[in-house]
Amino acid sequence: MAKKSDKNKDKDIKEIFVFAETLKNGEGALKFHQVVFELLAKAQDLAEKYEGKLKVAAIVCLNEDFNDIKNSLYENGADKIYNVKNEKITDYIGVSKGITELCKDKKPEIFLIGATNLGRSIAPLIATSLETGLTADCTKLEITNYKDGKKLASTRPTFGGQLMATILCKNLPQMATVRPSVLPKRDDIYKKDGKFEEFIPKLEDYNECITTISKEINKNKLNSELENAQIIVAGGKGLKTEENFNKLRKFANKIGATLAGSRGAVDMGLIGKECQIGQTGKTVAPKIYIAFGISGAIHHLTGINNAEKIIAVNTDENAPIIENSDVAIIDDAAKVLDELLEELEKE
Amino acid sequence: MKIIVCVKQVPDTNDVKWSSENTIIREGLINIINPYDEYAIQKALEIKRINPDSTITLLSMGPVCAKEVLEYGLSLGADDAIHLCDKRFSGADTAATSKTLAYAIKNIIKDFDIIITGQFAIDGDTAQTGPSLACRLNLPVLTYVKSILDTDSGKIVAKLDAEDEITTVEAPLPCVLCVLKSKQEVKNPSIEDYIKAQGKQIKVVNLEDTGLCAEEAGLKGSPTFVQRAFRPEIKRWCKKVKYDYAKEILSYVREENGKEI
Repeated sequence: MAKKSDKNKDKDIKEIFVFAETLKNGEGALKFHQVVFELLAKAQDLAEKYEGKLKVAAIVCLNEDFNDIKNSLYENGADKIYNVKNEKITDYIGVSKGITELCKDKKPEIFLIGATNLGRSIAPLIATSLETGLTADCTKLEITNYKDGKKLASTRPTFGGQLMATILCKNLPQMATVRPSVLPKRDDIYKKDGKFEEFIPKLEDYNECITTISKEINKNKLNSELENAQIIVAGGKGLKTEENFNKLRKFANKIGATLAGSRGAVDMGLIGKECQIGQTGKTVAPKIYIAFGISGAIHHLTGINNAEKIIAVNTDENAPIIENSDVAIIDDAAKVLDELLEELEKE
Repeated sequence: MKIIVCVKQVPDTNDVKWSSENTIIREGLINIINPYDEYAIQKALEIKRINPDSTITLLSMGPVCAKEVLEYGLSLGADDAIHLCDKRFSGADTAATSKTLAYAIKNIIKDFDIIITGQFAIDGDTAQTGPSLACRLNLPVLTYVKSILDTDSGKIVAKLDAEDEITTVEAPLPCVLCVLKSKQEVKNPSIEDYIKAQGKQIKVVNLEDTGLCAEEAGLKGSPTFVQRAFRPEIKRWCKKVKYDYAKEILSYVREENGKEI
């Protein structure tokens, strides 16, 4: 059991931590990753259901000022913000060490982290340092009764998405990562303001070790675009040629949709890895997902599970994508694209 | 340069069949090397090509049949292999797995410059074991490694995929790398490669050899446990469209776009 620190006057208040990852937008301004707001909404929901109600704390790790965007954390579900601040922190190992110290001090019950590249890199480092368990890429988080108390129940696809597993953690904090676009953010404002505490980690065993030599923009910078897209058109191996893929691109442009591809299409070099949908690619939640020539291997289906409407075009009636679609068209994807472009020309 | 490559045998989850009782039919399931671990071997071979006196040691934890992936890795050009094979290792989550690997590396392999793992495994897809291993060995870890540019003078220079950016970073050795797919195709080993590999050693190691105690390994040593496993539900209508495909698709698009097009 966690020992309570006497120094901490809020010692009886238990917390759910949410890692508040920041990004720079196109103009270089600081913002929080959308997954932070999704996790804060979920954390409030879990806090209500936990015994003795938990408080939700957003964990920022920044040396620079973030006053302009601070309130967005309270608005989306944070009761409190901890800013882990130390000039020594320059890489993600430093971030993980700083946050580990905070966890040792505050002893949170639950810790949620977005399954972004950064989140997936720091979460195992923090979990290992705290000797606790971590469940990756959860699609559902609930509170469940277990023995005499309550526990976080984290459900995730496993076995390549063929099987769902609900996982519990023996130790504290109970840690989980969730991909962007899997959970909804709240549509109301939680609160305008809240508590704020600066935490300065000692970082005794940390020396900055990863130095960044150069940075270049990922030229197919479609990550955030895909995750926020309302309509996605995606192509698979069934499109066969680059020429057909260009038709898909043209169609996407005409209807204002975002272009994506299956692993098969990426492997064939028809589209970049950044645009890959599925378990080893992106998870998306558009209003409409139109799949052209994608058979729908389970890895792919896992990534589109949260789409509101799935329209599938495939020659094979028995392709898994068909029974996993809302609207199915059994025909050649390239041919249907021709018809679509022709129909759009008429107008 | 002494390189350790961690590899995992995984079921080929692309082709899973279900029984009428909603359980996975395990017969006929093919086991393969985790593709990302194959990329890890490939990265190690690239380093060896530049520094020919390098050695590549494969490390895998798994049941008896996991030997197959080690044999495969040896035929690709690795020099030797260690197979962590003990019933008491089974049921391990990523925390217990990384601890077992860390003990084997500290107590059996001892001397190394680089540890390479795949960024993910396609069965569990947690991406946790590599970073967790680095943490236990108190080493720096580079994740989402696209390519290795340089390994000379006690340092490694690599390109990482940080989503919106590609960063080129430098880290001191020894260090752990979690790698993504390489640009080059993996070359299938020839029969001669397999014959050559037969002369290479696979050392089988049990719990006692690693120096780990039984409480820290396998299911017992895992902080997480599975409460329930179930088959995902399909909840789509699957309306089959017979004609006027284009009009049908565009009607949904228009509804969404508010007739802007």
